Amino acid sequence: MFEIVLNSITIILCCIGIFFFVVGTVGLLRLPDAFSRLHATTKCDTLGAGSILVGLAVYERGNFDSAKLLILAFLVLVTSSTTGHALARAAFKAGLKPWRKEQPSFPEEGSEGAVEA
Amino acid sequence: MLWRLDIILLLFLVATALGVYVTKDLMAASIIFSAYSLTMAIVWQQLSAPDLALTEAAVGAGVTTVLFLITISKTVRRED
Amino acid sequence: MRKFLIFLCLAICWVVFLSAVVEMPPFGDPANITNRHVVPRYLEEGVEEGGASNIVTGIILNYRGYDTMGEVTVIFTALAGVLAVLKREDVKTSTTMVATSPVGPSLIVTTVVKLLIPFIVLFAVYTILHGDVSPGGGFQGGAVFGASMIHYTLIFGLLTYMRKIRLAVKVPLESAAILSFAIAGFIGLFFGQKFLTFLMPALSHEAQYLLRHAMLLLIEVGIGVATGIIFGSIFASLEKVERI
Repeated sequence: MFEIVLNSITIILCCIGIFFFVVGTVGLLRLPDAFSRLHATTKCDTLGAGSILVGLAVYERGNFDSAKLLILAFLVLVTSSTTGHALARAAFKAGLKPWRKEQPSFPEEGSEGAVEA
Repeated sequence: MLWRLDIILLLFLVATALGVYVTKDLMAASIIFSAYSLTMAIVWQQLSAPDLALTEAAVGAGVTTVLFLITISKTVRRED
Repeated sequence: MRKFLIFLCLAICWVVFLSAVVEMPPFGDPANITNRHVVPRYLEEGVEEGGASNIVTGIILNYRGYDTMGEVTVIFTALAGVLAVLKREDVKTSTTMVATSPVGPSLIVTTVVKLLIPFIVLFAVYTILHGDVSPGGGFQGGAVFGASMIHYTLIFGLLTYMRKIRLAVKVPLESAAILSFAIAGFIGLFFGQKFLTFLMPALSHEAQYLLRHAMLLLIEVGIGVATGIIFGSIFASLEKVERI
């Protein structure tokens, strides 16, 4: 019984991780400008890889390997969010304008941010 | 099961190598090259050579990319 | 016409290489001629003779010691070449890109890097010192050490790096790998054996074992420190901006 509960926790966490990976990849391909793409891809690392690693740590039943996996999850959480912050800050300081929804006065023109990015 | 992972890794390796060759923007090319190095590190691990995997991950993806980027920032970015 | 010639040459090369690949013995077959003499010796006596539980380290540093000594010399020569083209950084004449850029460093990034650098250096030291029992060794740990120094320099600037690792410390440490190889080699000469040999028949068994471990540790630490410092030096001389 306990095994089944632990295994289902692992499966649920891995599915959450895969869901965030898929969503992040779709966001990288579909979103209009650099900032929103960074927003999507940082979710890949923090939530996607993080929850997969936590799920694998549950799968290892709390031995030494699962401690290593938890440390890895913490490192991925810290470093990838910092990387996302650094990239977004560099893009903003370099003068990249965030994308806005197109003005009603120019309904036919595509967004400028998408063209620049 | 794992040989499928190997095949995917090798295909990705070929794709990244071609990407480095095709790309004209040198900064993008060096970033693709660091992806190549990381994939190569996983392939070394799959070939049960963890010593080489460590070296490839640290040197190929870490140090070489930074050296390339510094060099590009001091010279030109586009390849003609 | 030219494209056709290129294509023809590539096709000829492809056929030659393909025929060579077809003629090759099957991969991983223990009956291969290459696997019959050297590999069993390494696998059976490598731990005893090489002095390291990790056979790869034993082969690299002991059986192929001359090869590794040459590689270390190559890295040192690469640094010499870089320093011959670009000068070494100097506190008086050079500044850094971080200092000249209009955007200051981000507080979040500096905090996280300050938090993570000790762990990276700890991992590097672990990799260097555990080279004879687990995967890793001098080159790997040294590369991680050099990468940590490069990241420190990228965030905090070249001047902080120059203040932390002074030139008087850096210059001797860059040659530490070749020096450690020389010292370990001359231990063999001291006992009446060849240069860079790890077998001293004059000593007892336990003393040989201890001496072998000590020599391996000396070479590993030397390679690790030198590789890290050399990567840092190459990066610093590339990163510096001449102040006008």
